[in-house]
Amino acid sequence: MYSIQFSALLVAAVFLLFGCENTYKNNYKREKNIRKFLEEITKEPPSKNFDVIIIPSSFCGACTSETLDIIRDEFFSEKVIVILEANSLLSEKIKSIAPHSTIVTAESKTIEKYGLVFVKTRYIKCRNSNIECSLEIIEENIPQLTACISK
Amino acid sequence: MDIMRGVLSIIKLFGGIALCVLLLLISSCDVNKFNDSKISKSVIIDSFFVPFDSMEINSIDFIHQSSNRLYICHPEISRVTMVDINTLEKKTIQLDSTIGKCYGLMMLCEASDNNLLIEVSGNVFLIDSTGKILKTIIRSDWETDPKCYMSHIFETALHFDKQNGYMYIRAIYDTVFKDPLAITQYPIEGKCNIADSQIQDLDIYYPNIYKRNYFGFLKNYSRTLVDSTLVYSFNADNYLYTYNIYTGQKENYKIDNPYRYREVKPANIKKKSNSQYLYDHFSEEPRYHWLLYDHFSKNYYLTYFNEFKIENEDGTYNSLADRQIIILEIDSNFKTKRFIEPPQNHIKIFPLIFGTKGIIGREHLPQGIKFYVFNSI
Repeated sequence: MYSIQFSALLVAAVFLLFGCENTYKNNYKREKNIRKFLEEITKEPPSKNFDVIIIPSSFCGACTSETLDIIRDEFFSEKVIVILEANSLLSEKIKSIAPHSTIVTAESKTIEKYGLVFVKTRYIKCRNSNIECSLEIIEENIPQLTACISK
Repeated sequence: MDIMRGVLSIIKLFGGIALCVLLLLISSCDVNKFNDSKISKSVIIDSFFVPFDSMEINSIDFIHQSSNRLYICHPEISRVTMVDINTLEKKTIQLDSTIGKCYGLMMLCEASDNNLLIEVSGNVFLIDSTGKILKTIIRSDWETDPKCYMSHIFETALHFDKQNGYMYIRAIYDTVFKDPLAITQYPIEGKCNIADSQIQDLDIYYPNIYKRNYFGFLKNYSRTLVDSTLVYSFNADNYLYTYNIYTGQKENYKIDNPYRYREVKPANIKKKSNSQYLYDHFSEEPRYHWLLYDHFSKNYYLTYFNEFKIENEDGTYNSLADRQIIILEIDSNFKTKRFIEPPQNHIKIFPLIFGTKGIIGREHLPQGIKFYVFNSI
């Protein structure tokens, strides 16, 4: 009897563990602070709907020429907020490939404080104050990116 | 009955002793962990300013030091600025346009006769002091070549031995890092005779710790060339490794670092394609970073990043800028002499620059670079 109860408990614990893993993946845990972050940086609350690209510049390979090509192809006509660490040369490039973008510069310390620490350039779509999608801007994600942008 | 009681009391006694040993162990760990009394605090003792234009400031990349000279690379504008840290004299070297067309990180070192060896993404050129190419030493395309010779990161930039005429350059056998466990099978260093561009691999490999474990992004290493010795430090390994470039003799030295509270935890190889997971692992685990040699004090300086938590239990996040960094001062016999805490975090300390009065950090301002000389108390 005891061993049946114990096994049932074990099975439940395993299910719980898997449940936690899924919650982590689908909950946009790191992205949840994006609104607060934008509010601190722009000094005004963001609208309910916005699109953001976060470009981390502190890690090698975070923003490659491939990334910039995808931004040009996918975001040339889009209104998007591009967050980057102060770098005037990169700002100029972004303005040329995404002319409707708004460039927001922030210190890496501020970006990290809000948990927006990503290894690769990332697109975040926010609708009705909820995160609808969050995707790395990499070649493998192009179909998902296109679908998410046009949704 | 008496025998049973006797056995029970012996068990209790041993249990008590075991508990005491456990408590002692825990308390000794705590002392080790929180006793920072050995770390010397930094004090800024001098500063100087060198003007740069905004294009130069925004494009600063690699910095190489040779004696009093700093070579500051600006790959995006194909320029190198040479600064003498004693006289503050500044000279601009505008690079040949061929070099500018090679996209990527730029690294350099001094060669013979006031010439420079400059590398951009695996392409190495010998240039004169005006930036003109005298010779192409290596041409490669790391994106397509299965094996190449390139610095890859600043910590493994080029070195040149003026006595034997060889350049030392990192060898990368799996340029796309397809097989993370194969890194230990191939040599990691090549030497290139700049007279005839012939390259041969040296008998230098990743240490055994990388054979046993997968460390994800913590596979970087740093190396420096001091006289006839190449000295290596690896992210996850608590040893320094030396290789004599004339005799091929190899040695290793355990790093004396009480602030390395634990070994680096291996990464989960099942998540090897999840770069965000690997980046978080890289950020949170303790690691050695950059090994440099100070020709003024004749000491090695090794930077160490202590363990770090990205996210707190209450859901708030920490800034990587607040992570504890310790500079280990290591003498020529590879004994640690001091542990130095760098100054405030608005001062950039990588790469460490050395002056006669101490270590030099930098602050990049819109009008130029402010250099801060610091020493420990």
